Amino acid sequence: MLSAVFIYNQKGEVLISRLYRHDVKRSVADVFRVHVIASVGAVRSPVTTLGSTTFFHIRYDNLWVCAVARHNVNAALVFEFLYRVLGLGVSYFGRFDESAVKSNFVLVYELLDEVLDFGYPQNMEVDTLKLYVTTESVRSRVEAPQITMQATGATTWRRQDIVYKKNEAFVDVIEAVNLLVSAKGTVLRSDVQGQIVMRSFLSGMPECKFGLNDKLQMDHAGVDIADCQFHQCVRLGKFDVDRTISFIPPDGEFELMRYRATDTINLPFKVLPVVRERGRTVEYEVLIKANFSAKLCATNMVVTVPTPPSATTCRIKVTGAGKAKYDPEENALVWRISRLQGLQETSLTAVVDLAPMAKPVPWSRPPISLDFQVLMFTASGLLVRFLKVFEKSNYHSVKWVRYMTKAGSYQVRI
Amino acid sequence: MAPMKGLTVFIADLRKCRSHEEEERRVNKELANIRTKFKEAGLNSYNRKKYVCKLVYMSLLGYDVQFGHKEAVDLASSAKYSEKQIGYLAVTLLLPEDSGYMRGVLAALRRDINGGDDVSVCVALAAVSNVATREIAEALTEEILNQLLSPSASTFVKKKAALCLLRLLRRFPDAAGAHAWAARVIPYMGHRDAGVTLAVTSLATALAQQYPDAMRKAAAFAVRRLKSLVLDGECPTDYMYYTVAAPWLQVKLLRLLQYFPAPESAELRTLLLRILRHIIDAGQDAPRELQQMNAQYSILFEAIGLGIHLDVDQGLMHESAALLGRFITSRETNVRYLGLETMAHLAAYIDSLAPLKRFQGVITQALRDRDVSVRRRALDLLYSMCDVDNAKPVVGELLRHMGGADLALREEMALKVAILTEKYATEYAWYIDVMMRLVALAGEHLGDEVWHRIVQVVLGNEELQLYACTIALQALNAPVCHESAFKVSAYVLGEFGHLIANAPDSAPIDQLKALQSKMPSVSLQARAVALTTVAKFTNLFPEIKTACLRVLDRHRGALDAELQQRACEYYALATVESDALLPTVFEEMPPFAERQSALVSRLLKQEGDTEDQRTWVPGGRDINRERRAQQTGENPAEADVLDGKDGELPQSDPADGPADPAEEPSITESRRHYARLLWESDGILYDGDEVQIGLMAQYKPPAGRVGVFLGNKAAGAIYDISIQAFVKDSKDDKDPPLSVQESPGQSPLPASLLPLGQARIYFDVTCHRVFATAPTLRISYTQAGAPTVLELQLPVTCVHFMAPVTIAVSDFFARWKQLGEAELGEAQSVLKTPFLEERSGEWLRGVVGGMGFALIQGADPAPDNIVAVGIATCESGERFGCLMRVEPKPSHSLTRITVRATNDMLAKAVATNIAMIFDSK
Repeated sequence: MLSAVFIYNQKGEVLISRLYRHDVKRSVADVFRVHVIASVGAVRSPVTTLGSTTFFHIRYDNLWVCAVARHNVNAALVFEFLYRVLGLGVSYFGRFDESAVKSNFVLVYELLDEVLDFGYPQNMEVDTLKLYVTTESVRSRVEAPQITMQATGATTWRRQDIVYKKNEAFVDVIEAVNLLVSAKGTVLRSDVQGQIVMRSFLSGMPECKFGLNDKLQMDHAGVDIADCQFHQCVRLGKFDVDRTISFIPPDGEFELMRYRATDTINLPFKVLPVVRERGRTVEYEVLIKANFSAKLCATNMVVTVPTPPSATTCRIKVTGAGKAKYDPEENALVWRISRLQGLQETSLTAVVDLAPMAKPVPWSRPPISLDFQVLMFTASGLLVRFLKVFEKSNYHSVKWVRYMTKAGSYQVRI
Repeated sequence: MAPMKGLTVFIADLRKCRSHEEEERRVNKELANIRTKFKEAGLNSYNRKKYVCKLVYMSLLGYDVQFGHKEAVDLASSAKYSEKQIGYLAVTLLLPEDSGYMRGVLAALRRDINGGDDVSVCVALAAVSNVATREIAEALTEEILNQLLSPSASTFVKKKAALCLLRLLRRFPDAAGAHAWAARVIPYMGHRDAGVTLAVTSLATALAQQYPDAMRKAAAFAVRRLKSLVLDGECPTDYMYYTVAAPWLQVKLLRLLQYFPAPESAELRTLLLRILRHIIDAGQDAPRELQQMNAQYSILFEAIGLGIHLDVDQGLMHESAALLGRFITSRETNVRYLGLETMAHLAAYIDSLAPLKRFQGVITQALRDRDVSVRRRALDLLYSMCDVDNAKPVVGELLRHMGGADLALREEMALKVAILTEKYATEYAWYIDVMMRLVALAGEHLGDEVWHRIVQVVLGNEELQLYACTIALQALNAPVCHESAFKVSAYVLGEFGHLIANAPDSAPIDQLKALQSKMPSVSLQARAVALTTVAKFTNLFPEIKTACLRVLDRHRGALDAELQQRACEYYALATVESDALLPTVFEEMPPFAERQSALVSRLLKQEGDTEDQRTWVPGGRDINRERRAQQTGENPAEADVLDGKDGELPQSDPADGPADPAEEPSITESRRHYARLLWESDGILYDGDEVQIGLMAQYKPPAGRVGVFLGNKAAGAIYDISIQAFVKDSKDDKDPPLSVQESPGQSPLPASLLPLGQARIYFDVTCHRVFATAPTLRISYTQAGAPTVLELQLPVTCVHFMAPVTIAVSDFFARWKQLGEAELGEAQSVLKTPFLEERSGEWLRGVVGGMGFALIQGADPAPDNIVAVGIATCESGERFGCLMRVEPKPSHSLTRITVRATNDMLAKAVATNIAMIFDSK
């Protein structure tokens, strides 16, 4: 498994260097810096193999987090681990960046010691770790013997003695729509990446059951969801047998599951672009239709319409909602629509003048991309059918469900 | 430059950017801003400068800046210096060479170089050096040269002009027309300003490599300048560098001298020796400071290099060897490197390697040096200093280091070991042992050349074969057998396996088994070689034919097409019912024809210098001597066309080794054409695959007109045609004996010539005096993208300016006798003429008549003999009489020619022409 974990700052200075095995030397940190950090742009791949040493890295804020392995390890596992480390950092320090690492050296080393033993990942549950890796701001709420009980028990992610006056559970279904439409209007690719995040404020050791309109359970009336990934609290055996999702939730916020849907996706927006290049000018006509119920509305919409790199002046007119302006930094017309009601439409017309170029290069015509949020709408059509909570004391609990669809990479070619 | 706030802020912004994306956004924003600004009219000078600066900065960061070129050119053409400066900077960095704005740039440059104050000239010269397109080189060379030569220009302009010329010359050796002015820059090597001298010396060094003849005088200047620097210690204080007088200049001068042969005058020679002695003596005491050491050593190393080049008295070189021995043990890596390099140079020329062999141990140590370039030099040196006596230890050392050497070096090392072993092998066993070890050690890093060569050597030496077979079988039986070793073994056993068939454990079946055991583990290519061996076994050892057939049969279903085909064909061959077929097909291979070893050519191929040419290559004395001989005796053919050589220059690079035999016929062909045109007025001069050149000549002594016709025989059109005729060696002759000029008033040559098309050009030739060398015709064209240059001898000799005169029969012998007594000029030769028969007198008469002689009938008592008279006329009005007597003896296949003339050169020319005509009949 992993031989070392390094954290670098933006410049490539080593902030954290923790070796777990003797098969690498501390100097491999320099190897990574020279070959990857120093040659930004040349190395795009997150996995770099130099000789027989493999470096897995992710960039976060102004940090480079890098894991080193000498064996043929499972790369997906390594990245899962690295992202969990980031999650830990965020949870402990609020923001995980260079200054946070610098002011918490000891704690970071302590955490790295806990989560990885001889290169093998250990318990990475934030709540559990917070029981025994403590700081001034993070204080342990339980006594030492109990920590041992919990950390080595059956439900490592939950304490026994949680009590709330009001028992509540919030379920957020968040979907990201990815879309690519060709210039002729054919859908080339469309899928939904979904995430169900739960915040539980429940007393005792509640047993929860969760139901979706899953096609397999609903006899073809529901949604075909694929690639389900669950939080470790979900009993996978049960899911495999009868596709019921049952679990004892951790306290507070956690990601219950992730899924993907590719069939029968309700696209929230229709984009009809017309782009004409006429010598020294380019003409745009872009029409956007909201394709969901009139009761709902999209917020924070940003439509980015790319312009040729030689654009000088732009004359833009918007009919309907929103405001647009030329943004030279992005080489694009940026059209912001704060609110678009369902079934409404809005359009933009623009004429862009081009500057003469020494060597005319044909414009690559990059796609128009959209960013948006639609509340109470799921592009996959997924619905939460029920959430049942069973507890020994049989208390009453309140459940809330919220749906949100946002843009992943929502692109239309022109 | 006045500070520009906007620019500073912009650069600060970019430097503040944390990520690439952020920077790109900032750049995009700025580009959009500049685009709009440039679109607006009435931009003031300050803003224009600022924006162009920003564009330059962005382009330096690697962003594609495709506009603003016009603004840059506008700035460059401005009268203000500050604008000009930024304009030229932008032009050199932003504009591509083929930009349409180049014409504007050229105009601005011309204006600045010609008129303008010193700073403008300098900034323009710097721009010329950086832009340096062909157009600029062609258009501005003259002006830049004037700046260098003008007495009024200041020293720093001169300096810049010289460096600018150097740059143009390096980029376009042909466009600058340097031949015409090369000699004119030499006097400036003696300029009182050391900076100018330094720049001009660099220029002279480049020129000397191209035009050694024109630059010959530079050597004397260089020696004198060195004398004043080294012996007299005359050096301006500004150029004293850590107590060394102008080290850069000294190094350049010493380097320059290496491109010339040793000075002929004894005075210069002794002076040069004194200088070298002085430098070498000064090198004995080690300087303390690093900078002084660098300066002093660089001079010393060049001086030793020059000493080697001049082949000066061995005492000096022995001293140098001792000095170098000290350097190669130095603690400074640079000094070690240079010491080894120079010692390799020394080893390449020195007569006795004894003084170097003392350091063999140290050099071997250097193979293990920390620095890879030092290791490489050590390898070169070992390779150079290897001879019969120390070959074994050297090769042994190299093999020992092979395992530890890094990959790039290993290949070179292996090649060198292979060459040395072959060259200095005294025992066959040793050669085979070393080569097999080499193959095993460095197998992956060897090209195919090495194992091909081993096979070639084994095939060529009968004594080697038995031992080679034994070793080959051993190699196959070893637990690990490298691919190349496998190939060698397979091939050798296939050829000579029968030699060891009676030895214990080497029976045919054992050989086959050994081969088979390794076959599965080697590559397809090696397996194919093994299949051939198996097929040879079927012929060599009939007793194991069935076993062999089984192997072949198994491979008939191989997945690889090559293997399958071989197996099927061999199987069919072996099963054919014919006794004679198999032995004929698998007859023993004949020894390979000796050519230049592929190994050596591969090693030499790795050379490739962009800067100054090297004056030597590593690799022992023989190879360097050959190289030098090739360089100096490169053009014996063009020196004297009439000495029986052909008129065509060797077009192949002298380093390529002997010319391809396929070229031979065309050479004799062109020689025949040339000879025919010596007596016929029109005909074909050259007939190649791509073009045909015809000639039509009309003479009216002392002048004549020669028409050259170029016909395209190739399938595609030919372009860039140029046809020139000139007299070699008469460039600096004010009054050449023969003038050749294009006839006035003819249409220019077409730009291209379609297949079967023809171009023609006429030349006017005038004979001023009797001359020996025929003019050269140079034809260049591009066909299918490949430029070709043909250099042919134009058949115009002084004999062509001969007109027939009739004199009385009786007068002939009176004149003949008179000329014989006067001894003005006589040439006699007896030529073999096997083609002459009884009735070929007619042909002979035709030849003599065609050469411009009048036949005197009945003057000679023997009826077959021919006597003839002609008069050559020169422009000056001089006339030279010429009498000829031809006495054919068909019975002996011999003909005697006697020519008597009032001019010796004329007589000789007539005799040579006839000899050529007979020779090529």
